[in-house]
Amino acid sequence: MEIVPGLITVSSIVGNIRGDPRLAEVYHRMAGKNMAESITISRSESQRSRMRKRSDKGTDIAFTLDQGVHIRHRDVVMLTENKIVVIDIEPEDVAMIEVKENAKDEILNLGIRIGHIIGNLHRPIKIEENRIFFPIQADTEIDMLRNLLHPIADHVEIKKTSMIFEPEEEMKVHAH
Amino acid sequence: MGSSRIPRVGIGGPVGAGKTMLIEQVVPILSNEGYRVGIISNDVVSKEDADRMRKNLSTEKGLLSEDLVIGLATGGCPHTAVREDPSMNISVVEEMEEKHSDLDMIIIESGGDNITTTFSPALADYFIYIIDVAGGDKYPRKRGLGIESCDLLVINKIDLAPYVGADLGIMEKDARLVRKSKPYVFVNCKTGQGLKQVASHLIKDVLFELPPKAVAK
Repeated sequence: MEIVPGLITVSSIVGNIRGDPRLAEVYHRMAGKNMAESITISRSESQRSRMRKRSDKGTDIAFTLDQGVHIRHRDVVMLTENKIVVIDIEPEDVAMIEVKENAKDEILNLGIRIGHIIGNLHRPIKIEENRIFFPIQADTEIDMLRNLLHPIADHVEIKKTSMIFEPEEEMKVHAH
Repeated sequence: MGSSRIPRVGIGGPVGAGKTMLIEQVVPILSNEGYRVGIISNDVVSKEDADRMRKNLSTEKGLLSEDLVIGLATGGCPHTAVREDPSMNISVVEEMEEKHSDLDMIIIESGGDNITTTFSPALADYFIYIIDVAGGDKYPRKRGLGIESCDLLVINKIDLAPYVGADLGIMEKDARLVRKSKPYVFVNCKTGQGLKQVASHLIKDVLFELPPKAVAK
């Protein structure tokens, strides 16, 4: 749909190339022919239903999505015969808490402490095996976290890292 | 998308930065272009800002009907009402959308707050953060979620720079560094300087340069 010259309106997501092998194949075929474009957005922007963004190749897109629809990393937002536009979510700074092997007997204590602290910060989390990730706004938060987790310091490794943060979906928390 | 949803702009910033005045300057520019705007003004305990805007924009200038300026006394921390739990604001927005489907835009003003103010994406589609030069020229450099993440950073009261020893060059350099490719505008809400640029950003990025609803009919 084109109302303003050159402006493409996108009101729904075509699909996601990570979860759809057929779409992934289309993407790789078109990328090989230099027909793939990307739009990089922040995690906060991924929750918006209305915004205007330009792809890396200049395609001007007006998003008017249904409220509550979240854009995901590698979502295809436009697909024509000669163009495929894919979303990239910007990596962001996160704190990583890795629970060490030696924590087995302390797991309940650890789980409650870590859950209590992150819960107090109202942050969304991502869990991967023995690692817990949550977004941070400043490096100083790592020091704060080390202080708060001091009583269990022998059982956890805490460090700052960067990732495309996709929170656990079933846990609805306040978006700080 | 539900056709009833009206584009929403959130305005946040510290107490006294000029949030209300920014709205009082931008709404007439948008009105002049034919766009109809509704305003929801959050404050902690009073509804003074809403009353002032209603008197100025409705009663005196006749740009919008009086019921299109709504004051919301949020109590407590103003940022919670636009970020953590925006349900109070969302219900007022939705009521306004229902009663005034011909509006082109709804502006939501946060109560004056600290540098971490942001708007929930569920409440606002676009977020303007306003600071003023009297806060010191190190303001942009000190960052904070509002300054870093907003869609448009507005730096107000540039006429005061010489009186408070603020260097606009430093503010511009730091704003560019902190904001990367995202825009910022220097304004003077007392004289209207720079305000057309603010309106242009809204018309381009929020209204998608579409004609006003009243014209499109």
